Formats: sequence, structure tokens, C-alpha cells
Amino acid sequence: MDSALVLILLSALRVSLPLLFAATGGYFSEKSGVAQIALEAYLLIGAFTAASFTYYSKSLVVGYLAAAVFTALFSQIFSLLILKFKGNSIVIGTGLNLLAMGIIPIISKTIFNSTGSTPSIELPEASPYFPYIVLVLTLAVSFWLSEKTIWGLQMKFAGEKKLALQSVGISPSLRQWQSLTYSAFVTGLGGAVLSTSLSSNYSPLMSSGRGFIALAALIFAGWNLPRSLIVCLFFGLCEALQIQMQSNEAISTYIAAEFIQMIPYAATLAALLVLRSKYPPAELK
Amino acid sequence: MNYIEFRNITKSFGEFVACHDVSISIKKSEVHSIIGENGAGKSTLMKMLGGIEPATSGDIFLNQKVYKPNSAQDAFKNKIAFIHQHFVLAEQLTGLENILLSFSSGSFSLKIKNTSEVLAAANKILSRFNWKIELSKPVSQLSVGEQQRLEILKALLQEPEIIIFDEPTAVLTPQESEELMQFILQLKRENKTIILISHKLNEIKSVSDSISVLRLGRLIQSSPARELSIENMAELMIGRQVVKNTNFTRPTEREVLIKIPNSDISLFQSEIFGVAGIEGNGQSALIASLLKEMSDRQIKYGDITEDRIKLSVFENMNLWEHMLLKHKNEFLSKGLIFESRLRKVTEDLVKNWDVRPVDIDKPLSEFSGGNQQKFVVGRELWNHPDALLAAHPTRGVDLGAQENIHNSLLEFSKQKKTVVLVSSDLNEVLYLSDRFVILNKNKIYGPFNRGELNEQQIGLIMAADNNDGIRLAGQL
Repeated sequence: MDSALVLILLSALRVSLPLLFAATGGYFSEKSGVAQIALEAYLLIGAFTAASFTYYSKSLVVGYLAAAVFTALFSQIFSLLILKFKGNSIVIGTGLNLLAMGIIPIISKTIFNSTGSTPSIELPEASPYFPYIVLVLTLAVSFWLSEKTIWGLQMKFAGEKKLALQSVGISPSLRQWQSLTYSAFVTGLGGAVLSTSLSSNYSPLMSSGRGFIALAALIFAGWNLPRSLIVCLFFGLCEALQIQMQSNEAISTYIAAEFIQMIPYAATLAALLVLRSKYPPAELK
Repeated sequence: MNYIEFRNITKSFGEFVACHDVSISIKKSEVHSIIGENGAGKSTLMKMLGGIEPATSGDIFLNQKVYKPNSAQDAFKNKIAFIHQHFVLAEQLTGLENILLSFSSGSFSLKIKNTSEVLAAANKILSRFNWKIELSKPVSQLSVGEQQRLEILKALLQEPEIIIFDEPTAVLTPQESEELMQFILQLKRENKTIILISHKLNEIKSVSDSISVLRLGRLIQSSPARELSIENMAELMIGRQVVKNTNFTRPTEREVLIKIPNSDISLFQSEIFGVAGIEGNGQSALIASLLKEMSDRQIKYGDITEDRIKLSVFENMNLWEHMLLKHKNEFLSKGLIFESRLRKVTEDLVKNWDVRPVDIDKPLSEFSGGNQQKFVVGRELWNHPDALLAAHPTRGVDLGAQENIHNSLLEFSKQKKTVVLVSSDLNEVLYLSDRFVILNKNKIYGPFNRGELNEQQIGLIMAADNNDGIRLAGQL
């Protein structure tokens, strides 16, 4: 095969990594009946936590684990406001996104005396395959949880028919809480990939809308996890192409960079229009 | 020996007493029916047995022992199954997934689903009753009858001894209802105890061993079924005799009001035109095209919509505001409301239609369904329209109010007016209509004259996959 093509495909897979995590995370929240627009916040929190922990511990494993745990802790605010105080998930999700943007510079200032980027991580020994191993593990666990276990079935009933779940004596809020926490846990891993594998430090707003792209992929793929992962890969492919085109002088002299950068978003939008589906979980709010 | 015993059960919700000192005894392996109007307390009583609501006072005895369930799970453990009127199924999940749920426990469980085991058990029951349900299909693709069987299957898998059916035939075709009644008798032969809540008296008469009648939360009578005739039951339920309107002759020369679009059917003045069929077979499309036709031709019409809450009313607005909404031109001038006239008219309407309580400032949500419906019917007829489109006018309305609404439809049609009656209650269509059509899969069959077909024949046309050879009048 053409080596340029292989390079593009590899780079496509690489840039779609955070999306794959975020879409998987989003899946668990949405399926349990809670609209999840705070994926963006989870990616940022995950990215910052991973960058900080990896910087001090010099270990990717510690960084990833910390990212997942801290994001899951952060998501407790979301769960509390929505499940306990019955808040509107869109409003609270928006609030959480803003909170993440605000709280990270404060913490960063305290630790690194800088509100911008964290110091860069140098890990010459780290395996480039590490994020892929984590991805495969995450997808396997997620599939097993949602398709094979009783818990997964109950989680779906929380999103489809609460009454049925109550009638067998299970609290829908409890399953939703567990699902939301897992959702943040997985999305936090995506954030870790963003700051430690796709770049070597945390920089402000580095998620740049990936949380929303993952959510859009999920919604338009009809809340079907495998299909939404394919949409994410497609976005990654367009992103890789876009990067190639920008570095190609023959193209970039004629087309403004802004238009080239638009490609992945426009292409994803077009693809989603073709793939769109109309069956949200019945109790999704 | 009494198997289930309610002793002096009272249940109140705040000020409102839903069941008042009710005592009923139910024997093992009998079909015991509980009848009563809407709000008579029959569902509330059964919810206490099903563990969904606790009793305020009084005791339930099960097999001579005090039984105090705290949840539906407790009822489950005591081998009591509750088949709800509104199915508790997740529509987008498959039949099998819906069944599997009832095998899961409350504790956090990652145990792998024992799909094949449950499937085998389910298939065993299906074949025992000669039922066919595709369990791998999403529930939304099953027919209403199949969904109900799925609901029953779900219950039977738990091997219950007592099965409560809450208005099970409300959504079924006559054939399906008949099959369900046979099924109930089969369960009885297998020594199960069946409690049947219904207000379809002929069904009750055909399967019950004992009947308890509730009225306004009190037990009126509890006796063996053979001692009660259908007329007795109706009388006990509403507390007075039901007067069935005898038919009257229609004028022979009648003018055509309009034609039903896309069909060769004309609607006459002075008639009630019935539309029978299982819901979702084109009723909405037919209503929409008729509404359009009437407003295009500037015919003044009243519209009792098929879904009151969604289409006719705003639950948190009061009665006079609702009156204003519908007849705004009568009460508005240069943007100002004639409030005194509006209030007076609304008050008269409420009194004429016996809407209770008489308080036109109360939001509609505080009225019972039956009273809401009476108000809506009254409002739609208030300005003497030429035609009335009545979709399920007596749904969720008790027998007394039902009689009232039926009589006013008949009265209205006598005044050279047209009523189009869309109803999934076949008896209602047969009782009121001069002519009727049957909808099946968006096709209009008919029109048939009163008495031309019996219930059985109509049921067949309603449910058949293929109605070749039946008069086809149009397509929606």
C-alpha cells in the first residue's frame, strides 16, 4: 500500500482517539436517560489531571488513572444536581463546561504558577501503543457492561422505561448515577490521551469541541455505540486529511487555512445527515 | 376457605378517600371480578394487593396470614402478579430484554444474563398457550395484543398463584378479547386465582365466579356471578337504572353536508356517522382530512379531539380561559375581553353539563377526567356548530357521564346536524351510528348501515391482514 495512505490512516486513528473515548462515555450517560453535554468539561479535566500527574510521577499509567478518577469525581457535581435536585441536564451540562474552563486555570496557577499551559512532559521510554491498549480495554469492558451484564440491561431500562425498572425494585436514579460516573471515568481517559499522547502538555481549551463532536456522533448514529465509533473515525480521517492539506504547499497557497480547517466539521455534518436516526431513548432528558 | 381477604380497607389521599372500609373475600382458584365506574376505587384496591400503594388502615390476609407488602417486589415474592392496563414495557428494547429484566435483582449485579435459560422457559409457556410472539423484535414492532401477551408472559414466568388483570381488554379487538377470556379460564383450570378489573360487563359475566361492585370507594355488593345479570351490575355500579335511548327514525330526505376526501362517502345532515377500527389504523389521517375539508368549506364545526390533554386543553388554565380560547371571537372586541359575559356563559355551561365542582376559576387539572371531558363536549357544542367531530368522546369517562355524552350526541344529530364519531369502542360505534365505516391499515371499508354486520364480522374486518371482497370506500 502507498505509504502516504498508511500514514494518513494511522494519523486518522490517532486523532480520533479522544473522540472514541468521549463517545463511549457519552453512550453510557445518554442510554441511561441523561443528556450529556458536559463531555467537553470531562475531556478538559481529564487532560489537565493527566498532564499534571504524569509530569510529577513520570508515569503514563498514573496519569491516565488519575485523569479517570478525578473526572469521575468531578462528574459527581453533575449527578448530584441532576439526580438529587432534578436539575435540567442541558443547563447543568453547560454550567459544568464553563466551570471546567474556569477552575483549571486556578488550579494550574496554584501548582505551576501559570494559568496557561502546563510544563511539557518528557517520557522517552513511554510506549506509543499505550493509548491503544487502553482504548481496546475500555471498549471491551464497555461492550461487556452494556450488552452482556444484567447491570447493562437495567441501565438501558433507566433510559427507556423507568417504571419497569421500579417495578422490579431497582431505583432508576441509582443506575443512572453509576452510569454517569462510568461515563465521566471513560471520557476522562480520552482527556488523558489528548494531553499526554496527542501532545506533550495541557494547553487551555485543548479539547476544542471534541466533546460535542462525540455527542453529535452518538446522537446521529442513533445511540448505537459501534455506529457512533465509526462516525468518530470518519471525523478523525477528515482531520488527518486536513492536516495533510495544510502542510501541502500546493493547496495551502490557494485555499485559506480556515477553510481547510473547516473540512472535518463540514464533512462530519454531511455524513451525519445521511446516517441520522430517530430513536432516542424514550426517557432521555 | 378464603384465600385473599381484604378486611376494612381504607385508603385516603389527603382529603380524598379512594376506598372506604372495603371488605372482600376471594376464594382460591376462582375468577373474581371487581367492577365499578372510573374513580370507584377498584384500581386503588388492587394496587394495595400488588404492593404499589400501602393501605391507610385495615388489613389484607393472604392464606389466613396478615400480608403487608411494601413494594411490588414483596407482592412478587408472594406470587402475586399485576398485569397493568398501561403496559410497562420498554418499546425500543426487544421482547426478550423486557422479560429478562424481571429476572434481575436489586443488588448491583454484573452477572452475565442467562438469556438462553429464560428464552427456553418463555418458549415453553408460549407453546403451552399456543401463542406466537417474536421475542427478538423490539416491542414497538409488536401489535397491541402481542404486547399484552408479552406482559402476561413476563408475569407467568415468575409462576404466580394470583394474577390481577387491570382493564385487560381496553385495547383489544373483539377476537383478542375473546381469546383473552378463554385464556383466563385456562389459567383458572390450572388452579390460579384471577382478579379481573373491568367495566365491560358482558365479558365479566362470561368468565367470573364472583363479582364485587364498588361505587365511590365503597363496596356495594359482593356475590356469586350467577346471581347478577348485566342489568343488575350496571345499576349497582352507577346507583340508578341506565336508560338506553331507543332509536328514532331519521328523516328520509337528507342533505349532503360534505364528502370525505379521497373516498366516495358523503356525510348527511341528521346522522351519526361512525368510524370503527383499532387505534392507529388511519384515524388521525381521517380526522385531519375532515377538519381541513370543513374549514375549507367554512362549515362551522366542533372538535372533540382524540387526545384531550394534548390537543384540547391546557391543564393549568381555568375553565373560562378555555372557553375564551375556543370561542374568542364571541368574547373579544377591539382586543378587550367581555369578562362578565364570558364568566356567565361559562358558569351556565358548567351547570348545564353538570361539571363538578362548579368553580370556573379552578385550573382544569383539578377536575377529574370525566368532568374535563364533559366540559370539553359542552364547550364544543356551545355555539351550535353544523357538525361535530367526536373522537373517543367517552374515553376515560364513567358510565353516568358516558350516558350523558351519548344522549347529547343523539340530541345534537336530531337538529339536522352531523356527528362523526371515531371510537375504538365497538359497542359505542354500534350503539350510536346510523352508518359506519371500518378502518384497517389506512383503508376505509364500508359504509355499512346499522345492523348490517354483527360484532364478530366487524372484528374480523378490523383485524384482518387482507380484506379482499369487502366494500372499499377510500384510502387515507
